[in-house]
Amino acid sequence: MSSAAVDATGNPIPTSAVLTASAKHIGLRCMPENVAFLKCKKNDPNPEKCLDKGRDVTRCVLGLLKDLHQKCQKEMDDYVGCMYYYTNEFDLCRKEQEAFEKVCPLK
Amino acid sequence: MTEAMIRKKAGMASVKDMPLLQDGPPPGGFPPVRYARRISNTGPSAMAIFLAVSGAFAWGMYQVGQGNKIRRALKEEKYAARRAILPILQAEEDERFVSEWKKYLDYEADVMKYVPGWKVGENVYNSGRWMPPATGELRPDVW
Repeated sequence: MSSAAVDATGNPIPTSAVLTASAKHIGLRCMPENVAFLKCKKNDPNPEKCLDKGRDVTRCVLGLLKDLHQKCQKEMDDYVGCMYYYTNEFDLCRKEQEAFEKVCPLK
Repeated sequence: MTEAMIRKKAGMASVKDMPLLQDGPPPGGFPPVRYARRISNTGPSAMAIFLAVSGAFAWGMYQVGQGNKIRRALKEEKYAARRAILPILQAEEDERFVSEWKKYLDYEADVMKYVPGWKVGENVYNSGRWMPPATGELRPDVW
């Protein structure tokens, strides 16, 4: 189980540790896509009907992860490693979270 | 030696005439012993004790409320993170499901191709809503 969070081409893999580490950024910067997808789902839970919005969400989130990883690689790797070690418990990783948000701030 | 040799008196006829050796009170008797109660009436009054205890209780309950606020904020942080990553997880699962469902429909068409009047796929419920498949066969690696 690699806690390294990047695959062969250097893109971050969306594991639970990576996603919870960047959850605040995702919630802020991918909010329109997320909300559109959820509204589509609420309207009709059929997966085939919301595939395009789902692709928007995936594109936004994976692009955001790659962007974060490029800008603040070491802090993000530390934070993701801490999240992996403590199974996504925010309160046990405050130090790494502060370092990460100092370099890649939530705007 | 025997007691008679130690404690003898001149002209003693028998052991019963030996001088007495007893444990007794000192001359003049013992000093008097105090046994009367002496509980003082000083210290905090009842109202003072009541106010102190209820003050401690109120402060403790205030601390409980503050702690609950902190814990609720932590829980909200966790839930907000889950809400933020829910769409991407659902979108990925939808993609996987749609490809598996297509494969399943092809398999069904292949199996039922000699059955007259069989409309392949989607012959589940009549309500018009989409329901997830109830067979559990689409994830054989999980089950």
